[in-house]
Amino acid sequence: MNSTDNDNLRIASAVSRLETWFASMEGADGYHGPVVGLRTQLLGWCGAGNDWRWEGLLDGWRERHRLTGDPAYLAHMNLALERLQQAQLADGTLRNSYFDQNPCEGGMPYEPAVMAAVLRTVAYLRQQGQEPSPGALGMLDAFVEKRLIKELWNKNLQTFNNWLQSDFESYAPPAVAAVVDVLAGYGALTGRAERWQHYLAGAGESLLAAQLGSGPLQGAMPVSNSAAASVSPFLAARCLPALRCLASLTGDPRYATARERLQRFVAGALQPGGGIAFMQHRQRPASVAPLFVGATAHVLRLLQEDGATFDMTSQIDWVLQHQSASGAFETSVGFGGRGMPPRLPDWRDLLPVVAWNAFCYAMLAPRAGAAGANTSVAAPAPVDRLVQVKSAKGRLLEDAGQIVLEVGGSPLFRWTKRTLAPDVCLI
Amino acid sequence: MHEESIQTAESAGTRMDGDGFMALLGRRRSTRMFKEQPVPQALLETLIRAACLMPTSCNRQLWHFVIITDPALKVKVSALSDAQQSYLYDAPALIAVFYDTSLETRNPCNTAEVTAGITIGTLLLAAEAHALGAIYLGGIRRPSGIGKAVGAPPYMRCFGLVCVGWRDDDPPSPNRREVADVLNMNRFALSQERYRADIRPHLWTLRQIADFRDKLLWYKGVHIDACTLHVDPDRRLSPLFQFMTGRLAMMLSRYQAPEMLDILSFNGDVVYQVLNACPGAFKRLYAYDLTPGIQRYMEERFARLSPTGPLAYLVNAEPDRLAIPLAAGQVQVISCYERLEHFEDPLPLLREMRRVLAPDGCALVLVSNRFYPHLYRYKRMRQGNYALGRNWNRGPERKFEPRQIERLFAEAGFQIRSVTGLQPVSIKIASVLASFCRRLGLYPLADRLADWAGQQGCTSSWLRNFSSVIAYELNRQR
Repeated sequence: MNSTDNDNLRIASAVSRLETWFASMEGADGYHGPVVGLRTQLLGWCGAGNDWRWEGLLDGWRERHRLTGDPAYLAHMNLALERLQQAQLADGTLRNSYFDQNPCEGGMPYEPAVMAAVLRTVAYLRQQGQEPSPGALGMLDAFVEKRLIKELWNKNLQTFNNWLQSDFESYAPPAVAAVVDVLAGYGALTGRAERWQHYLAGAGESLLAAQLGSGPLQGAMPVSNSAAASVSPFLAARCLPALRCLASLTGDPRYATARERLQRFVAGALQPGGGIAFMQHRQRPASVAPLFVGATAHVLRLLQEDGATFDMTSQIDWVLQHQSASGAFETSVGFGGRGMPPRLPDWRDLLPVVAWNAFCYAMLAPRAGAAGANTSVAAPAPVDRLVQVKSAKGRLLEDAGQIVLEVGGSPLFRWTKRTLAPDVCLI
Repeated sequence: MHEESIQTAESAGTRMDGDGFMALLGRRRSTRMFKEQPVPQALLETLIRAACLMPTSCNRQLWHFVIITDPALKVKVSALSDAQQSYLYDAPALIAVFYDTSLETRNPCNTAEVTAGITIGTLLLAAEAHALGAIYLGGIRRPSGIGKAVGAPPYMRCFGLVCVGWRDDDPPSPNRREVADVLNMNRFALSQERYRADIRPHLWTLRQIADFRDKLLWYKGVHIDACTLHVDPDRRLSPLFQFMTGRLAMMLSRYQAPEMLDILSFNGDVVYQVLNACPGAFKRLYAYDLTPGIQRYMEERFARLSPTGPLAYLVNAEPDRLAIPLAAGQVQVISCYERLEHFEDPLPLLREMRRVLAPDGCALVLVSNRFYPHLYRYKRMRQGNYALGRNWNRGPERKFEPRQIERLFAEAGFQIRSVTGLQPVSIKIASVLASFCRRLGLYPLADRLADWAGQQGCTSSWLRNFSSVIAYELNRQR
């Protein structure tokens, strides 16, 4: 057995344990759980979210099926499409799609990210001889026509707003990039690419206009075209597939150049010890607390798909090091500047989040080899970790049935898995 | 006397069609949704011709009009004048109204301003007469910016914009005061107490509040029918709503098939949040409000989102008294988000809530504290001319001291189960300090402060008294 085989086995084991953990978080209408996000936390509502957690899951299942042929993954994909149809509202948005700001519909870039994954799934199912259901196609059409074109297209800016009440003069390039993925994918699926050509052209130009041309953030895509002092490499990386797609569709060399510059910027944000910088700034050192594990996994996957040639082994190892006993990946390292030895990790670092784990899953799934879905692990192993809770020491406990955060023996947060809300939430 | 003068006018052959004119006045509404179809220039010129027929002091006719149709110029106008209404972008034509006020600066009756007002009123009526929709946009913080955007000379003062286009809405008619209420013959006399028309609804009568919610809410609500009427972030994304939805989900989870009541919903936002975020968690959700018009408002607003679930609308049973049409003890969960503030005496509403709450039920009441972030107050401090329209959803005026509201809860028969302060003032202080540290280059400290502030979304310590909003979870007293 060579080292590659060892790596595959290690990753296959990690993937299998992660799948078991996902199963513990799955309710009747989707994947539940609290959220630690880039900007805020969501603990009070733990219902099934329809945000980019589906993106990672759908892409992961697709890769697992491609490698293993296990029909369980096809079943997962089909069930996800049904659940998303159930969650779609009249204007094409998805119920509870705002990730860390749930429950609210219209999350960006979460919704187009999901829909782009749905398009990839539908295309894959077609390859497998399964024609997409009318419901799935109707969902995509409603999202494209009612949400993207009718509500978010900004005639003045000739690009897509980030939300319905967005400022009239600003847009968010990562969200626009996700929309490009959807329009291009939907055009290919329906054979009506010319219908959205005008919108793609406008969106593409807005991406080119937003890319930073010089200085320490050269090549970066800012979170908003009107705020270029700091950039999230994780969100910027979302523009890579869009630029690649636009280069292919239009043959315009500007997109290829923009993609190469962006790839250099994103790869440069990876930290030597592992993880991707939380924010890169024009006038100050990069923010490396926290380093999000799932975000790192997502960026690695995007970079690999984009043809990045550097050795990612150490970064993948770093991700794998943060898998906990339950099978879930930790959310981050170093929240609030804490977590550096010898201090305890912050509770937000260790609280597992479905969406971040889905990104880890999508990155690891194609590397796990042909081992089938592991059904031998019935339930996630229990977790009991010491954590920092504001100024106090606490414990984070997890088992197959619940997640508890307690200080001094009293629960601050106690959530029974698969339910709508915690029964205790004092944080 | 009146008939005589009419006869005189008729005999002179000059009687105008009074009924037709009154019908025109009655038809006119402020239009906030426009079709994309452009307005022919000849028609716009007709409107200007109508305005030019109006009287001016000494027949000076010092007005000037600029019609704006270029989308890029609209963006510039918006940026320079800080006019944030969406209809500025949606209307196919904007008429910027200027008047040279330099010759009439000392006139005690402000004739220049009055002339501009007459002109604008005439533009609105002329638009209505030609089947166009129009609205006067006066909520502009820097009207001089419009002049800059279109290159007007400094002596031409801008009095705002009239947005004109083909109407794409059908707003309800707000009530009008009775003539007898505003008219005296020969001598000024107030027959009743002073008419209150400020932004503090707790000074209004119940009928006034009902009428406001029934009619004016339409104009100030956010994104009705997929359109943004008033540029205002969706409150449902705020930490307050996040907290409230989570807490309501927690409360609903305590019961088997509970019934829930929402009191005077925040434009329907609370109802919508519960419907979409807590499916299957309740048997029935009642949305209680003061008039049936709210139901139409909420249904049309939610048509874009089509929430599903067992929802029933309830209308206040009596015009001058709060009466929730539910049986005693019927509901297990009640939500009331910043609505007690709309009553000078909230005790009747609290007693009604207590009456319909089941013995083991619980209520979530969010009350704005004195630290409520009244943005317009700060803006007014910086800019004396800043004016806010009557918009309830930017923070009601009424404030309760924690002790005061807690006494009212006790009087109404509630006991407090938990108290949570939301958006404590410490968040704002930490945010300000963090940005200050960033300016000084103290980045690690700035990050620490920002992170600390981010964790203080709600607190149950004594700091709650320094919060913008206090959330009370209540039970019935045994």
